Amino acid sequence: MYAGPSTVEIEGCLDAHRRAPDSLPAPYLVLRRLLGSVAAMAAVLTLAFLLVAAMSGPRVAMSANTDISTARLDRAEADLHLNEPLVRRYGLWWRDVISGKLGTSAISGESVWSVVGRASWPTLQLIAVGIGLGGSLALLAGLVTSLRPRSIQDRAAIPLMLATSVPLFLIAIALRLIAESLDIAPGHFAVAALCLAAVTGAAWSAAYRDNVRTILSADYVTLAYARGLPRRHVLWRHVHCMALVHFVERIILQLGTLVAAAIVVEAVFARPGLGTTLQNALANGDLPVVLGWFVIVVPIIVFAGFAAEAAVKFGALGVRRG
Amino acid sequence: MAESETLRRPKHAAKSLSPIDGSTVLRLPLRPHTLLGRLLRQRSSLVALCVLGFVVLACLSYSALAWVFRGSFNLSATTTTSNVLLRTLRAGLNTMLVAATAVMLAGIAGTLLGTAAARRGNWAARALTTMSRMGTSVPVLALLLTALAFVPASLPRSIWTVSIVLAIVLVVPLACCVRDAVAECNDRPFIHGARAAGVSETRILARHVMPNVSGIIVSSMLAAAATAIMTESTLSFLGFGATASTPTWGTMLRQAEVAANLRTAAAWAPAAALTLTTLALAILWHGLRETCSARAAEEAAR
Repeated sequence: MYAGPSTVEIEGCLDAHRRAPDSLPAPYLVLRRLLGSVAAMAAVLTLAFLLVAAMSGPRVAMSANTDISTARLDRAEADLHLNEPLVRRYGLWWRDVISGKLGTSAISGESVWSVVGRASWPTLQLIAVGIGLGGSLALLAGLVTSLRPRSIQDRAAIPLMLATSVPLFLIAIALRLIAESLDIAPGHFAVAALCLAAVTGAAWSAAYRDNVRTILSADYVTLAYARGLPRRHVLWRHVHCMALVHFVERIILQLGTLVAAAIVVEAVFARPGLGTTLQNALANGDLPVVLGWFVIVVPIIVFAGFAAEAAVKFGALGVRRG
Repeated sequence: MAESETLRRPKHAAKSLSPIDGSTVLRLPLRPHTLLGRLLRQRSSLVALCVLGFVVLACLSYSALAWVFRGSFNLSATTTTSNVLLRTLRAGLNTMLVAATAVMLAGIAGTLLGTAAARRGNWAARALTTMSRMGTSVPVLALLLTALAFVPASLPRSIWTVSIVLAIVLVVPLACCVRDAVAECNDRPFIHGARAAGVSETRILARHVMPNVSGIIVSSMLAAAATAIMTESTLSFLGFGATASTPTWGTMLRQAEVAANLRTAAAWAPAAALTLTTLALAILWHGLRETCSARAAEEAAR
């Protein structure tokens, strides 16, 4: 559940895709999965459109902000086709989305592409460091803690599990206070990135540990031991290789969760980025930016997830399945 | 024999090794084969349950405490420790109401949807797969923020609105858990036996499947409760939660942040309560999940 920043993950929600029968030919599966991704993306964008355009009366939401001039309000109204009935407006909006016309911000008059594009760079940096540092930490912790159940290092993993059960914004606030007391600027990139990396690393290391445990009890590992293969060979070639593939797949499938975590981290550390842009746009009633945000961010997450899954499922990472 | 002795004399709680993780556990006067009995024999789960019970009872006793301290009690203005504690209890009551409502709604809807989706290929399975794919293709927090920012003027942004929005988000992972558990249970020999004996599908579901998956449903609901509390407090902290008339722990932290009071009790009290509650829920969830899988492994080996 998903379902938010630093969540206690509910098992199984990421495994839905693994229920597809693997006996079908690979191109058919790729196509079906691609169509599924596109359908999910269209559904999410429709939901965002309905939330923004239908629920509260968009003109009212925008005109509540007195900073928006009448000229810009009229422009935003024309961009979002607010004078049309809802069904026609929905059709026109899809035409605009496909042709890449996302309109202009009702606050600054700047193109939505440039507002969201400018904001995405700091968030991308944050997420890249989060994935790199957090992934490395998770791998290290996962390797150390997973192999000997009930050992001291295994017990040491318990705090990692607990760290994922505390709201991310509390951990971020604690880190910010520590940074302040050490005379480090609280909005410093390194502190924000460390925060994101620590939280994601803890969550992923717990997942890696569980994954290694599951693989260790698989029949083919027992068979490998029974054939007399040395322990090191079994662990590296049969256990960690497999766990690593799922690990990479998991990281990319959780890109949405990472963006959600970045929203919280940016809010606490007062850093510019996608999260701050969305929050400001929501608070100021800047509807073109809100809709444009979803139109730009959702496809990136969807296609990254699709690429990861296709890579794992169809052997690009050198894994034979089935 | 040792078991019946323990049952008769609970004061002499004996120590032994947990069947689950090998840790030292307390033997309590509980029926050892039930899920609750197994769960509470783990020391960590017992402590988590006590902590959770303490926090819930403290929040429920808010009205009585507010009456006792009515003379020196002003909810809005001062930041004296007793007022902060009372405000934390009131906020905790609201937070728990949100979480409980969201989890109950999501639990009912998720169980129905997950049970319907357990048979591969039907409409419910397809709908659930699409919804779960939607969940991974968007930052859910962004959708929640947008939904709460544009709640229509006729619908106040009350704790009930937040609960319903959270319940909609929690349905999908809960339904996925139920679907997987029911599908796994459907493959077990005694279900095939019942079906071969001509027992109706409704009776199989009610008498054989549901009792076997109830532990997993409860553990998923515990995880959902932790997620609901964390998400609600995050939304409130970002300023998109319920209105200030019904404060929650997240709202208190936001107020402390705005007033630059983060190093005072005004921030520490709700932060500690929030952390304790979510940790206790997570530990209970983890313990129950392990207990369920240990019982399933025992039954499979039998």
